Amino acid sequence: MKNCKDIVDLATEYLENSMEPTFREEFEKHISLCPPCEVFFNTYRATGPLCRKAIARKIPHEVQSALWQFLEQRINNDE
Amino acid sequence: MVSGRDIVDIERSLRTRELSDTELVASFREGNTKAFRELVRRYQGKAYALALRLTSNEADAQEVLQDTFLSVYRKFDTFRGDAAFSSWLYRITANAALMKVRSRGQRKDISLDDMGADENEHHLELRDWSDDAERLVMNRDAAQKIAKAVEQLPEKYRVVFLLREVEELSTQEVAEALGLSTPTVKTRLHRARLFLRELLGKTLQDFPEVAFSHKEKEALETISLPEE
Repeated sequence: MKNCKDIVDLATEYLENSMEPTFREEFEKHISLCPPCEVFFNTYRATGPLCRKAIARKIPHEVQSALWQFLEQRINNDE
Repeated sequence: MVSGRDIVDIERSLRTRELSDTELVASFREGNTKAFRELVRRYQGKAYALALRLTSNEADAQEVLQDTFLSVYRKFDTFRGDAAFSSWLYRITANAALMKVRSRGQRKDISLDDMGADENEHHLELRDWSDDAERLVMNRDAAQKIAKAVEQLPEKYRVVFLLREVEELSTQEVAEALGLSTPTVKTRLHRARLFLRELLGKTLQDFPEVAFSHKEKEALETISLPEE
């Protein structure tokens, strides 16, 4: 791991588990020794789950009912 | 009073719930429409959520949902089964949603570069807000701001981010669903995460329960990045 920019560039590779074990160890070592990189990585990693929780939406019952009604009608017409 | 026929139906229903997507697909191919109904039941919520986030409009999302499952029914013969059924379904959903948005001329995407998403300016952060994430999503206004931030992502980044981070597909599944290479998916995902991370950091400052201290705010305003 050359420098802090590598941490930014390789953050997705790390999260996707697509990094060579040696690089992975270097990545983790750098983060443990570099507080700004640790903060960067913690917030980078938390971004997806935070968005997932914030935008979670359940399908309303009326949308489900309308879907079934729509499909029954169209499929019956097809047949 | 539950009849014998009801019990048989319930047992069948329970068995259906245990079937994998692949088994349901095979069963539907043999003409079992109950298998199709189960696939709809299983994926309607996920398809609706994706459509809603891509169209940003409930009525449009409902239409996309209906068109999607009708396409699935009518074009089932074209599904070869090379990829997962879910990838195929997400592809149809995303295409239908993006066509809906384009047909209405609803949005003009600005590039991430124009939105200030320079990868070289993302590194330095004074405060680790990752521990405050739980509290932040409990706040309705904050959650709305986060949703708005996701909506701001240009289309090609947003669809990748939604499938990978919200629907929790694997990178490979996202690539299959969108007909992209895995490296392209990773690049778009990376840029989307960087952009949203930056925006979330700024959003946090507006909420007292997770706010930066005055000192930290001042430091953030005056900070400049070190030269490489």
